[in-house]
Amino acid sequence: MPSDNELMAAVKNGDLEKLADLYEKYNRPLFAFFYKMTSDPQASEDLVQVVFCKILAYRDRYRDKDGTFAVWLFQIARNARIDHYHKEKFLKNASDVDELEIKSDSDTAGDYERREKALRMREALNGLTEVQRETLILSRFNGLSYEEIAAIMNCRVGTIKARVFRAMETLRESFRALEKSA
Amino acid sequence: MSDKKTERLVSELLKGRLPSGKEARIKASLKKKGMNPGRLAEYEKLWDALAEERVPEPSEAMSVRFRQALDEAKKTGWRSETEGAAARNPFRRPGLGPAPRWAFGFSLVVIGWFVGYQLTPRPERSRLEALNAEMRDMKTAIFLTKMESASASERMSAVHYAEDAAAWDDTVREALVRALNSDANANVRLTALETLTRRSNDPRVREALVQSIERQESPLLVLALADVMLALDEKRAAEPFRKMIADPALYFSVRQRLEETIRKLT
Repeated sequence: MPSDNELMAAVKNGDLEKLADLYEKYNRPLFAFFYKMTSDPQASEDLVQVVFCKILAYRDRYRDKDGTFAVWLFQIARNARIDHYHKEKFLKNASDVDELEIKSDSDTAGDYERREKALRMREALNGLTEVQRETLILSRFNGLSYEEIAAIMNCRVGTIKARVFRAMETLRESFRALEKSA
Repeated sequence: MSDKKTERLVSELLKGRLPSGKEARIKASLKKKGMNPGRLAEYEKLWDALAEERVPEPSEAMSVRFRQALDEAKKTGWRSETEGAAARNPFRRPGLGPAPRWAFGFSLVVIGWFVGYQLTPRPERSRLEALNAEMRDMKTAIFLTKMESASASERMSAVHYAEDAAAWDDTVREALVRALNSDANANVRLTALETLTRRSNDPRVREALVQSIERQESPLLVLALADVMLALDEKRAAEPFRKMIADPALYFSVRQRLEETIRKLT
């Protein structure tokens, strides 16, 4: 099984079909990242498409010595999402969309508690700053190391660790408050 | 209580993947620093709960769109943006070392100054041309991405986007003709027709519009095409319209309009 770097090197050399292998491996993690950030499945799918178009368009800029493919991929993903956010402002109604999504998919009475908990968690996550939320998502859902996240966000590892701690502290406080008011 | 070291230790503990014994050492350090074990347990519980949040599966359409875009890129030999820029940039010729590049650059500056002084500012003009070409490539890429969207409103906005003169090229024209002939949504087909009609001074567009007549099943599109053909006085349209009225299942009102169109065209 070729590594990500080998696949990307092939794409750079003109074997565009190898991009399909990278797509297979990364389309779900990327979709999950966008979905967690936007709560909008349609926008998330569009953004995945934009990222792979950009990989193709800027394939010559990829340098494996600069870090892992995942780092480069999520750097592109972050920029694509920021561009999209500025263009569409779709984050405005993020929590509404998410609520609808959860309700439509969970229609048994037994799921009520889980659904409520998920909504509280979503609300608590929305209380974080965008950068904190992004850091937590990349770490917790995309499984990236703090070193990789630091490379993606172009900052020091210590900054990422501090950000994770503060995000967790904010989450703890808002989750407690939400549970109390529920 | 949350000094930098505590923050770092809690984050490392939550992340896991620690070598054996390190977890216990971190917990001991945190305890020594006064971290309440209950609070630490709360962080851990929240950390676990974060992973439980469900993410829906992306639709099949997403992979279909990717496949189509990749096939299109392979077919058209889509060059990398940087490759394109390098091709346009004489300073990036492979094989030239820094000294010849500087000499080459300097000679270009001298020549540029001379020509600019004598005539017009050419280097500026070529830079603008290169920028325009990059903008055009980017606009085409955005247009194609939107055209592949599963959402009809996205595709509609792509068709409107193609009205921008800077985005117009062969790829855009072909994609619009494809939309006119086979998009699942009638409004997208109508908007594509409208956009193509504005480009009807291009003989390839006129040809595509005539050929599209026989592909249309929706009466709305047929009538719209009849209006366009009349406005363009496109006599080649008479034949496909004749074939259409030979169909006994054709709506009476459509038949009447087509007969009138054929009469005016011939």
